[in-house]
Amino acid sequence: MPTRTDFVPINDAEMAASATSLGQLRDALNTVLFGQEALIEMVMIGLLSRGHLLLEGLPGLGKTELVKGLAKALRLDSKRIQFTPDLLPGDITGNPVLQEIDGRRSFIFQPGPLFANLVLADEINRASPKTQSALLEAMQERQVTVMGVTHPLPDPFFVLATQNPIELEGTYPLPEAQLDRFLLKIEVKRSAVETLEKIVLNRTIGVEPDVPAVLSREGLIHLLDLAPQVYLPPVVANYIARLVDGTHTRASLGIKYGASPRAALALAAAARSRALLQARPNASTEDVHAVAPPVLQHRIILDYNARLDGASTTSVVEKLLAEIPAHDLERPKTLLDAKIR
Amino acid sequence: MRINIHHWLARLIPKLSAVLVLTALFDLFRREIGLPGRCSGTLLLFGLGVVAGWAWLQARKHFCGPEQALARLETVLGLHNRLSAARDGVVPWPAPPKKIDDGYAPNWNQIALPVLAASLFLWSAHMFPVHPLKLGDEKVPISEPPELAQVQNWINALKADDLIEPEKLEEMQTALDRLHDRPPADWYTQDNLEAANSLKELTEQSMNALAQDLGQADASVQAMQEKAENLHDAVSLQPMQDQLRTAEENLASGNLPLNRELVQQLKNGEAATDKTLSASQLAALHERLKKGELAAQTAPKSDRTLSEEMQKAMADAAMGKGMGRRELEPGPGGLGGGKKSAPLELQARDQDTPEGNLTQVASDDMSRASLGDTVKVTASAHAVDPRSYLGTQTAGAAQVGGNGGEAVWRSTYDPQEADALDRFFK
Repeated sequence: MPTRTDFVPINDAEMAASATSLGQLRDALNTVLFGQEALIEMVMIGLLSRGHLLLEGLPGLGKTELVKGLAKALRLDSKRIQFTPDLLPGDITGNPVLQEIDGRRSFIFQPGPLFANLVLADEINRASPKTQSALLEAMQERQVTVMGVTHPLPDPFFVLATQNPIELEGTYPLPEAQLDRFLLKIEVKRSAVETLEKIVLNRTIGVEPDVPAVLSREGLIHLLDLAPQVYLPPVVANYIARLVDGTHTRASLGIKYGASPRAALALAAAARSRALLQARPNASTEDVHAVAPPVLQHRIILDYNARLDGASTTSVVEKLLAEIPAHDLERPKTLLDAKIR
Repeated sequence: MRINIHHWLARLIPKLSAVLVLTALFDLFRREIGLPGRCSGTLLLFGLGVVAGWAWLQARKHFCGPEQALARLETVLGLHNRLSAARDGVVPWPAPPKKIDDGYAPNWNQIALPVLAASLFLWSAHMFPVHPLKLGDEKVPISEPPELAQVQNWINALKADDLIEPEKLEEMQTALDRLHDRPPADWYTQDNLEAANSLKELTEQSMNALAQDLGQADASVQAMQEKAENLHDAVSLQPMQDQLRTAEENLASGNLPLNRELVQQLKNGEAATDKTLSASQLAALHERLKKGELAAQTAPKSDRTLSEEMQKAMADAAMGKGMGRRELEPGPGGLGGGKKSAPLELQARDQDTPEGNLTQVASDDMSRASLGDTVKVTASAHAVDPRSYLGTQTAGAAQVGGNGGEAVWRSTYDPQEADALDRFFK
C-alpha cells in the first residue's frame, strides 16, 4: 500500500477542535444572515483558503452585514472602502505625509484602509482601473509599496469585494486577469419568503445585529494553517486537472478562454477547506464539484455565440461538471450507470 | 473484476455475433455440399476461441486498475474518497459496508440482444431445409464420335454381305474397338479424333476402291456372259478375261481383299474359254459381284440410312453437345460453335424487327465507346462572340474611403458574424 510519508495528516483531536470552532463561526454568521447557508459556507471556505472573495448581488441582500458580522465574530480589524470613480490609489493604500519630528521634516507613511485584516471593497467596479489595480496588487502580494518602501499588510488579510450587476453606467468592469485574483466569485441570491418573514420579525432597520466573538485571531490563523494539511488524494487532483483542462478542450461549451493553472490551485485549496469545514481529513471529488462553480465561473470567458445563445459562465460550468465524471473510469457499453448516489 | 469482464464482453459480443452468423452461413453451405456436421462445430469453437482472445487483447487496454476501482466505489458509496486516502495511508480504512455495490447494472440490451439474434439466426439456418448437391452424380451421356459409328456401320454391312476376307474385317474391327474402348471422356481429344477420322477416311477409300473393282469385274463377267451365250469364240473373250484378271488382282491385293471363294470364282471366269463355267454360273457370279458392288457403294453413302440415334449423336456433336457439357451452358464459341451470347450491339436493327419501335441508343462520348456503339464526330468552329469585351472589368468599388479614426461602414460580415446576427434577429 503506498503511503505518503512526507504528509502529516490532521489528528482526530485537532479535527474535532476545528470542527467545533468552525461550527460556532457558522452559527454566528447564521445569526447575521438568515437563509443564506450556502453563501456563508462559501465565505468560510474562502476564509479558510486565505482567498479573497467577490460578492455579486443586488443592493440590500446583506453583503455588507455579512462582512461586518464576520469581523465581529473573528475579532478582526475590519475596514470598509466605498469605491467611487474619483477614488485614488493612495486613498486606499495610504499616503506619505510630511511631518516635523524633533525639528526634522520627513515623510511619514500614513496607512490607508487596506491595512486591516478584513477589507470590504464595496462596489469595486465603480473605481478607476488604476485604483482597482492598486487594490488587486495588494491582494496578490499582501503588501503595499509606497515611494519605494514596502509595507506588509496584516495577517490574515482578506478582501471581500462586492459589485452590483445591474448598474453598469459609469463603472469599470474588472478585467479578467484581475478577476483571476479572487478565489471565489459568489452570487448573493435573494431570500425566500420564509427567510424574509424571519428577517422582518427579528431585525429592525438601522440596528446592527449583535454577533458574539467566537474565534480569536490566533485561533483563526491556526485554522488557516490546518486547511493545507487536509489530504488531497490523487484521484481528486486528477479530477481537478480534468476539469480545468475541460475548460480549454470542450469547444462545444462555447468557452473562448479557459481557466488558468491558478484556477486549479484555487480548486484544490477550496476543496481542502470544504473538507475541513465538514471535519474530514481528506478532500474529495464531491468537494471539488461543490466549489467548482464559484471558483471557475469568473475565470472563463465565453465566446459571443454562447452569450447570444443565453449561456452564462455559471451554466457553462454546470455543463462542464455534468460532462466530466468524477473518476476517469471508462464504463463498458454492457453496463449501465444505475446507482450513482 | 466485474468492470474488466464487461470491458471484455463489450468487445466480445459483436465479434461473437459475427462468428455465429458466419457459422450459420457456413452450416447452410456445409449441408448443401454434404460435409459432415462436425465441420460447423469445429468452425464455431475455433471462431469462439479466436474472438475471445482478440476481444481480450482489445479490452486489456481499457481495464481499470485498483485506483480507478476504488474511486468508482467511493463515489458510489458516498465515501468522499475515503478509500483512496486510506489506500495512501492517510486515514484508516472505513468499515466495509454490508453490501458492496459498484453502481453498475448489466445492460441486457447490449449483452443479450445481439447474441440472441445471432443464435436465432444460427438455429434458423440449422433448421432450414437444404437439399444437398450431388456433385458428380449427374452423368451426362457422351455420344461416341460419329466417325466411329460410321466405320462400325460399314464393317457391319461388309460382314453381312460376306464379301471381304473375315481376317481383314476382324483387323478393322480390332482397330475400331481400340478407339472405341477408350474412356468416353477421351473420345473427343485431339489425337482420338484424328485417329477416328483417319480410320474413317481409310475405310472409305478402301470401300470406294472395292466398289470400283467390283464394278469392273462385274462388267467383265457380264460381257463374258453375253459372249458366251452368243459367240463361243475364245478369241473374242480374251479382252474381257484380261479386264477380269486385272480386276481380280486388284481385288485380291487391295486393302479390303475379297474372300477366297469369290476370288476363285473370278479366276474360274478368267478361264471361261474352256467352258468351265456355264452360262448359269456366270450369271450367278454376275449377281454376286453386283450385290457386292452395291454393298460397297452403299456403305459410304449410308449417312442417310444411319439410325436416328446416330444422326442425333452427329447433330449433337456439331452443336457442341455430347462432350461433357450441359445443354444449358453456352457453346464453345467460334463459327458454328453452338449457342451464342447476345451480340454487343447498340445499333438499331433494320431487319428482323418483331414489332413496335426500337429506339437507337447512341453515345457521343468517344472515350467510352465500345464495339458496336454508334459514335459521331463532327468538325465545327468554336462559338466565340467576337464582339465580347476582353479588357479589364470592374467588380465593385468602395463608396467611402474613410479617414483615420472614422468608423467605416462595412457591408459584409465574416461567416461567424453573419451567423451571430442571424440568430440575434431571429
